Amino acid sequence: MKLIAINFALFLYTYYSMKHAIHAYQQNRYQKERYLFWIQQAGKHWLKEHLKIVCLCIPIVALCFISEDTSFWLYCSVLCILSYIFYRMEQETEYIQPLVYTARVKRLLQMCTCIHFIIFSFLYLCFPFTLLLLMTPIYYFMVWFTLLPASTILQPLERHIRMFYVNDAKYKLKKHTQLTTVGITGSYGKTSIKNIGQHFLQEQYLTLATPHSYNNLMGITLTIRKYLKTMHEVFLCEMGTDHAGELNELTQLVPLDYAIVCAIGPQHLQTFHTMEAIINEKMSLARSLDQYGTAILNIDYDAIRNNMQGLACNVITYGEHEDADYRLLHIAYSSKGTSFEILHDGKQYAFHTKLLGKHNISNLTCAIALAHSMHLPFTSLAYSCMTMPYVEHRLQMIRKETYTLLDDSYNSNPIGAKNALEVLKQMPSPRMIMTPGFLDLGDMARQKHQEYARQIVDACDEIILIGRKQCKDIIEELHRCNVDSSIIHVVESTKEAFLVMEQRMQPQGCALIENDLPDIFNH
Amino acid sequence: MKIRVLVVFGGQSVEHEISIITAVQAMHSFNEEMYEIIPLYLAKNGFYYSDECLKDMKTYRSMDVVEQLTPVHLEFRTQGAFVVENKRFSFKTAKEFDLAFPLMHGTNGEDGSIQGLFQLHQFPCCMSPCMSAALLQDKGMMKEFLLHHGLNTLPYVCLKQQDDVSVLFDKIHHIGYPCILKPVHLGSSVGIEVIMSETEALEKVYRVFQYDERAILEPYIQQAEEFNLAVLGDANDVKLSDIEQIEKQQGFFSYEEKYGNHAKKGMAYAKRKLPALISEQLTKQIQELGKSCFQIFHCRGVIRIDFIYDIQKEEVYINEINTIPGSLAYYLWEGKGLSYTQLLDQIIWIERNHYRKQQKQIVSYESNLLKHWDNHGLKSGSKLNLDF
Repeated sequence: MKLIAINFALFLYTYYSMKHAIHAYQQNRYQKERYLFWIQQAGKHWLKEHLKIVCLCIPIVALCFISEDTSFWLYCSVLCILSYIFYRMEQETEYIQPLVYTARVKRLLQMCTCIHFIIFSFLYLCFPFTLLLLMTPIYYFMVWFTLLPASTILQPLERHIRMFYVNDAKYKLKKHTQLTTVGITGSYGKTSIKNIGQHFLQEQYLTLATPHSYNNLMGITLTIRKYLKTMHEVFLCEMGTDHAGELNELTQLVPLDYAIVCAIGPQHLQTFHTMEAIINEKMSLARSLDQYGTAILNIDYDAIRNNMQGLACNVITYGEHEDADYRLLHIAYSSKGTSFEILHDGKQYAFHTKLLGKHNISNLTCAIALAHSMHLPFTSLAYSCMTMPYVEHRLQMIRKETYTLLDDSYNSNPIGAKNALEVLKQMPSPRMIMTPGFLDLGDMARQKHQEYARQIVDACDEIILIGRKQCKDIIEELHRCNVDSSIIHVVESTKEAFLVMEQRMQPQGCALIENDLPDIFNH
Repeated sequence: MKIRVLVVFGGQSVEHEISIITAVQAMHSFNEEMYEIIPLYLAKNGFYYSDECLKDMKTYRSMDVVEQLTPVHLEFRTQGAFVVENKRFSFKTAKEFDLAFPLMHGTNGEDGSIQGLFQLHQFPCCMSPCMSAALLQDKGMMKEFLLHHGLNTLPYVCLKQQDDVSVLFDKIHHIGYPCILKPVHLGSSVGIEVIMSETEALEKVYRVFQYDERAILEPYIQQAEEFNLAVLGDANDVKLSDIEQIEKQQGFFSYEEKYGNHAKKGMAYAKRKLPALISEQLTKQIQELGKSCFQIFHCRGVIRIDFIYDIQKEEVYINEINTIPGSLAYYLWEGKGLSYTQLLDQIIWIERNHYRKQQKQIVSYESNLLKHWDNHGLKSGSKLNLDF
């Protein structure tokens, strides 16, 4: 009876800590390495956050001086009260990206609970009760680490479940003989190309695109199983990679007819370690094609241009480079949007769009190259280009009552940010930026953040940075550039940043929201 | 991979049997290499049935056979739409389908209700959309619309069940004798009455009200000819069939005379000319009326328009428009080199095209307006700011 009671009380006490740990694990894509690296990075900040929990446990020490019979039930009651406090605290917390209770998360929660049951039972049965009492704060933090063995135990089962779904998706695709598949990869711009591509191709083909930013094996599997219908003619598949070999796994699931490599940059350097590894991985998409396939490559990137020799497939190139098959020319911005021209087969074709930023125009060129090679005429593409809506949160211009908001919150790379700042520079003053910097830049993080800071100085009159530690390099560089500290505002959450923005915004001004990291990364 | 087509037929309508004939004919005419046909029969008892035997005309000779089948229902899931057996405990089979093809005639089907069911779930459904089907099923609304667009149709008055006798007579006198009375929602000549004189007027009016609570009254043209024209296409492209000419015999065809066992006066016995032997000018006039009709009602797939021609006045009028014509009016296309199989193929192609375009339309906003709306009721909430 007592064993069950103590286990139940400790379960309630550790539940929210366990939930937070699984939340962080989920946002680190269930990858142990990433999760541990994140704990290492955010460790101090995170300990400070949870120190009050340890303080709440101090009165428990008093229970050591009471007889065990009385203290046992008192202890259980205190744990229940503490769990209620945690519950209230949880109710008041707002997450940008809350924990999604998927079947996997539920399995993890159950396995963690089982492990805790074994640990708590062992401690209760084999050690003096006083020791159990004194270890109370440790239990709270322990669950962050019991998650790892729980995940390891579940790994074979997870692999089995994944394989079942993947094979099912493969079978469904195999039956769909008339489907044209398009894979899109690149360090940035994949989602935009996919959205623009779908807008273009839908004029002639019933097109399915992977929703949101679903770009890993399970995301693509889910898309195929859930959304792919017999009537679909084209499947636009965003393919992300953050470790070597991932694209190979994806192309085995979805054999491609078209492969797009749109950009190569220092994304996920932490897991790839070298730029060569990134280039090799991205170009593996084009290498997966046979002689009937077509690779569409952005040759503005040296990394792509220098590595496209020896491909077995047909190659179509695009970009500003003079050798490009679809060459982007004469980009001109105005208050109504962007005009540009494409040179193909010696003829120039004019386009107009309300999308902003050079990277968006490059993405449009890529989608035009894809659609044109799939027999859509330039006239239809010019019309589609004109009616192309803003991609939400991708340098989307929102006119507020007194000011203009440039929402680029889904962008998370330095090049996109540079382009956004260039657009911001052409907007009326005062100009403001709200940013938490970037993630996953590995060893280049410092250098990229410093460059970013200099671009900000050049374009902005007011700077709001989210997360003191996360933005450390930006703040240092801003001070080095002698920026007046009264225009730099460092806040700890996105919510706070919005409050500062509302307060400081002046009429006719323009604010840029650049990147919007999940809460756990804002520190 | 074959496209799985759900053929929906039957329904709670006086034209139930006609729908079965149309569906069985169609199910045997689909291109088997391209389509897998799943029949969905809505029986008179209100249950849905789906079984291979429903493709055979013999099954319908006795309803006992049909009622022995396991009833099914439709399920719209995120993965797609399914026909699922109504079983509680044992293993249920679920057949997925990609596209619906309604072949129902008359009320509770052709009136847009079946199209509405699929439209609600954003699921592709062949033939005219809910709005057009609903408008064209109501003869009063159809005439109103035609007159509004200046298209030739006979003058009419609408009689309602709740009208006083004096009002009814006023309306009948306004049209004059002889006149023809039609229930607004029924087709295939069901419930139609010709009123020759005042003495029989009231009896016939009340007989028609047994079928429908509203009826339209229009002049009865004694020296008339009927022309039929089918139109195929969508908003972008319209094709016209040959014009069929039906010489009107004495009186008009009742339902029993048209389709009954002793249908000696029926459709098969009417003197038909296909293509019609008429002047070029009349052909052009009928074709233009047909095309305009198809476009103003935003029809899709195939429709059949019935015209009535007043020989004395040499005037042609739009009489009736069928959004799901019997046998899909395939016989009108044969002269144009389009077989029944090809016609069905084209209708499906039109729907696929429409579905693709529909996918491009904005039906909802990705951003959730209520995301930051944390007040638990309007009392505590401020006015919603909609300036996005």
